[in-house]
Amino acid sequence: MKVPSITARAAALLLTSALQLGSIASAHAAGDLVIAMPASLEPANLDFQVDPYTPDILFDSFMTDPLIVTAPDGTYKPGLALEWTVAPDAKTFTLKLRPGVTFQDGTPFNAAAVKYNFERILSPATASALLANNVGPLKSMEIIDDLTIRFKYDVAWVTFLDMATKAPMWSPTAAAASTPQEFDKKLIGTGPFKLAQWVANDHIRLVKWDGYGGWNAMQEHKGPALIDSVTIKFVGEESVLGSMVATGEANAAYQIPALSVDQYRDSADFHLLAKGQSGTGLSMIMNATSPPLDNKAVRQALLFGRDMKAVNELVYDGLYEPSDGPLNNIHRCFWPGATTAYPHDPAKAKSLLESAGWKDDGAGGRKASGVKGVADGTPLTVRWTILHHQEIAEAVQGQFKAIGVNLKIEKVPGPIQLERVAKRDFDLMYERLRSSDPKILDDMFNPTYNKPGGWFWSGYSSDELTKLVNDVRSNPDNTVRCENAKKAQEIIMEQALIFPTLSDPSYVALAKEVEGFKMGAEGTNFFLHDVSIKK
Amino acid sequence: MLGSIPGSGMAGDPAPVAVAEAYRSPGRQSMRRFLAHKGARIGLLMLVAWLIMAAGAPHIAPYDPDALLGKARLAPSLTNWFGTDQLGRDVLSRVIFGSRISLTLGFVSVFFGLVPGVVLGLSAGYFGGWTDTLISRLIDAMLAFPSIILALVIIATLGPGIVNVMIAVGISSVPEYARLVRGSVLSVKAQPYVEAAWLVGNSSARIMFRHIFANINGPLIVFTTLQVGNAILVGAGLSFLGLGAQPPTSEWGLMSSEGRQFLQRAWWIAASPGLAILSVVVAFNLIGDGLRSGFDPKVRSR
Repeated sequence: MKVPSITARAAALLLTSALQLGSIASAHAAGDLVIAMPASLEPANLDFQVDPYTPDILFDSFMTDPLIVTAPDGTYKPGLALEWTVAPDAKTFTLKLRPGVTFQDGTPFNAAAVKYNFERILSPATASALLANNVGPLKSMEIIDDLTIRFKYDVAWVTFLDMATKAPMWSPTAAAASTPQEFDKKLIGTGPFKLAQWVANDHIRLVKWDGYGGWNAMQEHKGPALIDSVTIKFVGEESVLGSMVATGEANAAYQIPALSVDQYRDSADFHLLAKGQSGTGLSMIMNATSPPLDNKAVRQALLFGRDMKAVNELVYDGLYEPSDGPLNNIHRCFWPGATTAYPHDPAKAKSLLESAGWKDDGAGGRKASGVKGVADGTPLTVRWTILHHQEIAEAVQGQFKAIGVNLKIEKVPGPIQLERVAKRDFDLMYERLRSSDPKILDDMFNPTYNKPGGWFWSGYSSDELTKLVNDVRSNPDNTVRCENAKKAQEIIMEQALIFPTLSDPSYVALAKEVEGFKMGAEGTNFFLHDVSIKK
Repeated sequence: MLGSIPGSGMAGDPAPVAVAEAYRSPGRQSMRRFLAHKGARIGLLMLVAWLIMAAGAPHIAPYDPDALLGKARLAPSLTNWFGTDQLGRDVLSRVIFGSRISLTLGFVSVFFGLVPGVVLGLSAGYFGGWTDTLISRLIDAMLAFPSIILALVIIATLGPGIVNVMIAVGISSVPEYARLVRGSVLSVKAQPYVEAAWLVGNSSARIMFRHIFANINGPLIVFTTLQVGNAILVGAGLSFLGLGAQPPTSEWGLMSSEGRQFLQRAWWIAASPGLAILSVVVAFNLIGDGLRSGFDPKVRSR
């Protein structure tokens, strides 16, 4: 047999490589959607049944549909559950499941699978950091038939449906074959995309599942997704993230910085979407258990010493939204009194600090004089611990100089944040929950959740506040819940337990060839079911 | 050599200046050659300018470096010569105040490296034997890591902060000092004057510091000068990575880091501290070059 010459072999190799490159390029053109996201959105664990971070809900929604879908208009639509009934006392919920659904590994989706998932969420072995709280004191689950399941509570659990929009449903077969801590690399759901790869600190790659049946009311076409794959790139540099669509490195960029909005606004080459994020906004919780913030006067002084409108103009050209209270201004249960509760008043802030024993040291700062638990002469330093948005901290730091408060900024990663919270080793700690339901007040201010994984971080409790947040969690009447949420916010602001800053709308930049991209009811999620890339 | 006989004054003999030089002390000769070096004069001028700015920052800077002036990302103008930063602070004022930290960082960290480095190098070179072996292997081990990596490890241990950066940068330069001093000691310890000092009963410490160290400080001064610039650069790098100065400190590395997010629309925020770092490092390098011309016999003979 004649052996090909080196030249011939090299030519063959080049030709093969060229053909491979060509096929990659054409696959990319046919539908590889590249989405750039801030690196801060990358969770420690991709499974929202385990991990507490809101971005998990978004990532999980690509791989599995929820039982109930929140449509962009805020209404509930069928997901894996076609119908649902709520008892008038909000203690019993019956779900009728969608027939003909299977998980990506072929396991049938039915009532038993739903029951398995809820048992997994509540299992101590899962150590669910948030979702188990949202599921609450579930008394029992009853399988009525293969496609009907009933949930029963001893107390009214009015947030059940909201929880059902977030809880991911995973294949019992796949989940049982792995530990909760390892399963997030092998997630198997019912959704339009399968998890192909997750390279930590870099990207997540999802590929189309050809067996998907379009089991989500938000999908307009029948059958599998239109795009072949999705690559989610985590980008650490904000300015880079903001430019990636403009430079063609990504088809979409989610949560671009406000200062990058200009390059996409009013451009024929791009689409710019924006949606607010209901919840707490970018808030700092105050540690009311130790000096210097164990004194209400000091906490109130900090609120009088800030001017968030000026910060917004200065840092974001006014593109962020105000967030004046424990629930932000776009939240349906926002307490309007929060807007006027603490006007920018440096003189009052100084006076409150003086009354609390933090005296002017004559050099622009303050030192303790008769402050309980603090040695006389100790300088007043307040720690501000954050994961991101350091620019807000620095602007507030500049404003606090005028009242003699030395703000020390600490930017830490998520695990360190949780470690410090567990030890209550902080003064002001970034604490943010996103939800259009006011139950987040219960999560944050009910001492029941003063435990590992809980969000009761301020350490302050009073009977009146606890009673109100209990009602917010359990009253079946939504109007009354909202009213009580407002009363709770009034107490929280009067006690100055939270330092609201601003609210960041989700700005999404899209290349003009991307079609069918839908934002959710909140800026925290979007749908890829109908997305296509126009050639 | 006949031509160098003082006072000959004959035509064709070396110029009187060269004759006079023969009578000057080696130190004065070195200084003269240093000042004759054009680059060194420029470097010295730049450094003196920075030192004046650092010392007189509160009087020279037009604004409080931490004051929020109300308008962010203003381009350089007559009101704000270097523009304003992402929080509306005057960049020029921050650069001027930043010189205090950067120069302090340079000098202090060099001190942290110089003292232990000289002691180790002198001991290794003078005592030899197992002392030399032990110290040399320790130096080799430290030199195996690039200085920035070594500094990062030290910062990871000590925690972020400008003082810890000074310590980290200093410690990371210890092996280089030790290696330099050891080599210099080996080249002079066999000299007759060292033997003479030993014979008349001087202690080892006195011989090392009074007789040996005094005669090897030329290259050490040159290296130290260059090292100040290097320390400023490494320190700024660590602050750029968020391991050094913390907000709102006016530190050049931190300022460059914060400004990088705005390079497309407000280049002056990162460029101004960057140019300041450049100018100080260049100044020290020019001075170092000049000193080398003055002290190094090889350079002198060219």
